[in-house]
Amino acid sequence: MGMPIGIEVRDLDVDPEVVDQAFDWLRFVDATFSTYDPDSDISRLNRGELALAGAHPEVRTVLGRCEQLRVETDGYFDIRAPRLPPEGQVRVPAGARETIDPSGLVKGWSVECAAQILDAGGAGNYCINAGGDVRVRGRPPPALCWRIGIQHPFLRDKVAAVLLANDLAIATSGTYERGEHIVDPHTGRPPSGILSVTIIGPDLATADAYATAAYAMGRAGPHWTARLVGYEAMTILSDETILSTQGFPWT
Amino acid sequence: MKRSTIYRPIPAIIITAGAALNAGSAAAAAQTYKGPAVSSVWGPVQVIITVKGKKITNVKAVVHPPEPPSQAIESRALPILKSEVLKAQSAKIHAVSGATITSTAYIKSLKGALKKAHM
Repeated sequence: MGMPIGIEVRDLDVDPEVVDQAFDWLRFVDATFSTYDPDSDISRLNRGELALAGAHPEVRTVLGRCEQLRVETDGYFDIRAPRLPPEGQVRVPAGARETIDPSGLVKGWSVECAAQILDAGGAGNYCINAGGDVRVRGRPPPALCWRIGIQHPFLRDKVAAVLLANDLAIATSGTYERGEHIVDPHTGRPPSGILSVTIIGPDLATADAYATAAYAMGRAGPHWTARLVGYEAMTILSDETILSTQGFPWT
Repeated sequence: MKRSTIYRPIPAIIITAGAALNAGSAAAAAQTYKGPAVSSVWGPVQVIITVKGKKITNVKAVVHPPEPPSQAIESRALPILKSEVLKAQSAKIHAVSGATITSTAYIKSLKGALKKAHM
């Protein structure tokens, strides 16, 4: 998926083989879903070389969830929406095949599944960080909680907020590492007025998609996040104010 | 670790990055070179470098935010949201959630400014 993934397990009695299994899973996800790998199921689907029925069952699971989320987010999470390259221009030739990019869900989903592998292996205290999507469980002794920082939008070595968490998924959408821009699927242009959206809750796949959708909504995002059930949110606006939901656990 | 300060004169946001490296000779006059304005998700980004003799003494990135939207959000109209001011903390943390700000627009504009300064 083109980004570093860190897994930190604090349980002393867990076989390191369990972490290897989690990485094996993540490598499988990358090989199957990466839009940067021409041999992945997604790339082959996009070129019309593979039918959905012939793809790995996990692909159908993911695409089904993506469709549910597309409806749930009024189309602001849409895997058919292009990601703009840094130059800001995308030229789609007339008659071009519609392609999909489910990476807005796949990243969080793959980490959530990796967490289940760690759970099955007996781990109860871990932190998985995949390019800014974070999944924690338990705590890092002697501390009582994991301390998760929300990246400051301008200052790389600072955080805008700190969350204390034991069992939580945290996803943040903003400018991507590779410089690609999330667009509003309704307009094809990047949203204005906001710098980042952070969503926290029980499932990282859902949090990931909600963060992508809320970011695409721009200044209308915070209002939408206030209606989410089971998830809290924090949006950093371009005027350097932050709008957060009532239950967002500020420190 | 570089220090960064954010100023906010309307309408541009100025990000000053990097400390002055060397004073250079007092006799050399400071010259500024502006890179091209490159589009980014926040609006056009322009890097301005100050050169004294052969040394870069300052690097500044200016972001010109896009036109404000026609409807402003008033937090009073949204009692269900809490409003805070963005602050910077250096807290000890185990992990960071966020999309790393590797701005290709910044790098492009910086290259342009360096070229103009023949560096």
